[in-house]
Amino acid sequence: MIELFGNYSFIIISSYLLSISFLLVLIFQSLFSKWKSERKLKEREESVEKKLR
Amino acid sequence: MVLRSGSHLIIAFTFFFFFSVLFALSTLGTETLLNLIAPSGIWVSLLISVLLTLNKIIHQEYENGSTDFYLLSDFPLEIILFLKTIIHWITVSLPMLLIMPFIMIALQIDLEKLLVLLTIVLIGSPALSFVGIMISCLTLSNNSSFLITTITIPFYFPTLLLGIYCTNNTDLDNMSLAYILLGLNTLFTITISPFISAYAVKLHYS
Amino acid sequence: MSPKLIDTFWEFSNPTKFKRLAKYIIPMSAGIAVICIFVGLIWGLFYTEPDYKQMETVKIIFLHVPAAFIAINTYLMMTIASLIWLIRRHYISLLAAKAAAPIGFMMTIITIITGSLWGSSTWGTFWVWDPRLTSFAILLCFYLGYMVLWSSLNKLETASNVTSLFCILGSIFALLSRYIVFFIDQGLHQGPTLSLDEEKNIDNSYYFPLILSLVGFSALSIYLLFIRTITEINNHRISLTEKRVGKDD
Repeated sequence: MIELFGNYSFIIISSYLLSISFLLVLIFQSLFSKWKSERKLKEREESVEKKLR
Repeated sequence: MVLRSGSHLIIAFTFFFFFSVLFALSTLGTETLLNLIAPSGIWVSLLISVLLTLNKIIHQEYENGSTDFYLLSDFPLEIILFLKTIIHWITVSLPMLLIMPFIMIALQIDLEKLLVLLTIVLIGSPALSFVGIMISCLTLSNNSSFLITTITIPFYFPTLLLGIYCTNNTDLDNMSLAYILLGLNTLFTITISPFISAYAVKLHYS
Repeated sequence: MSPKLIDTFWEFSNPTKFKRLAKYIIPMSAGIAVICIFVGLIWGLFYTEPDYKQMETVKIIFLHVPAAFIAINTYLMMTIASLIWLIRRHYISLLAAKAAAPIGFMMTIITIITGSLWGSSTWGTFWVWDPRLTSFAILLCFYLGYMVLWSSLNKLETASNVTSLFCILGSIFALLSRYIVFFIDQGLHQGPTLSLDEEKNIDNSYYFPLILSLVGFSALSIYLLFIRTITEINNHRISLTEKRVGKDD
C-alpha cells in the first residue's frame, strides 16, 4: 500500500495524513467545546432558576 | 515629554548598533554574503529598535491616567498623537541617520551610497513610527511588550519590503517607481495613523 | 425584492433565530462535507491517472487548493463581520468572526504545509518568497495576531472593538504587502505560481474531484463556523448570567 504511489508516496501520504489529522483535531475541538458550553449553560440556567425561585 | 525620551535615545542607539554589528559578524566576514544582506541588516535593526521603544510612547501615559486629560481637553487627540509620533521619530530614527556612516563601515557598504541611503531611511522610517503608534494604541490596556511586538510586526511588512528593495537597488533612477512607492507608503501611514490611533484610544474608554 | 432579502439576513443577528437557522444548516452542511470530501479525495487519490509532468504528487492539489480558498475567504468573512460589528453592533457577527479565526488559521497551516511538501518534490525547495507564498505567510501572521489579541484583552467590550479594528487594518496591510511583493518579484522573474495548475485542470480527470473537494471543504468550514459560533454564543450567555447572579458558590 505504501508502494502505491511510487517515488513520492511518502510525501503524498504524509501530507494527506497531516492535513486530515489537523482537520479532525479542529472538528473535535469545536464539537467538544460546544458540548462543554452547552452543558455549562444548562447548569447555569438551572442554578439561576433555583436561586430566583 | 522630550526630556523623558532621553532613554529612547540610548536604547535605540545601542540596539541599532549592536544589531548591525551582529548582522555583520554573523556572516563571518565573507564579503559576498555581507554584500547581499547588508541593506536588510540596516532595516531590520532599525525596525527592532523602533519596536523596543514603542511601548513608551503612550502606554505609560495610559497607566498614569494622563490620557484622560487628553480626552477631556478641547485639543484634538489626533494632533496630540501626531506630535507624539513625530517626537518618537526624531528621538529614535534620526540618530540612526547620524551614525549611519559608522554602520555602513561595519556592514561594508560603499560609502558613496551614503547620501542615497540616508534619503531612503529618511523617507521610510517615519512609517515605522506611525504604524507603531497606531498598533500600540490598539493594545493600550495590556502592557505586555510581547503582545505589542507580535502584533506590530505584520504591519511592518510593506515598509520593510519596500525599504530593503530600494536600498538594494540604489543604482536606479531617482524617480523610479520603488522610491515613489516608499514615499507613498510613508504618506499613507502618516495620514491614517493619527485618526486610527485616536479612535483606538477612545475605544479603551467606552 | 432586494430590501426584503437584506432584512431577512439581518434577522439572524438575533441569537435565537440564529440557533434555529443553525439547527437546519449544521446537519446539512455536515452531510455535504462528509460526502464531498470522502468522494472527492478518494476519487482524486486513487482513481485518477498520474500526470506525466509531476508524477503522482499533483494529487496534493485536492487538499491544497481548497484549503487556500477557504483560508482567504475566511479572512474576508472576518473582515466583513468585523465591519458589521463596528457599524451596526450586531454581536453575532462579532462572535462569528471570533469563531472563524481558528478555522482560517488551520486552513492556512494546511495550505502552507501541503504546499511546501508538494514544492519540495516538484520545484526542489520547501519555500520561495514569491507573491502567493509570502501573502500566505502574512495571512498566517494576521490570524495569529487576531487570536492572540482576543485572548490577551480582558474587558469584552474593548477586546471586541480592538480585534475588529485589527482585522480590518490587517486586511488593508495584507493587500498592500501582497501587491508590494508582487511588484518586487515581478520585476525579477516569474516565480512558480499556481497558475500552472489552471492549464492542467482543463483535463477532466482532475477537474471534477477538485470541484467536489472544494465544495466539501466549503461545507466543512460552514459547519465548523456554525458550531463554533454557537459555542461563542453560549459562552457569552454564560458570562452574562454570571454577571447577573454572581458566580456559583
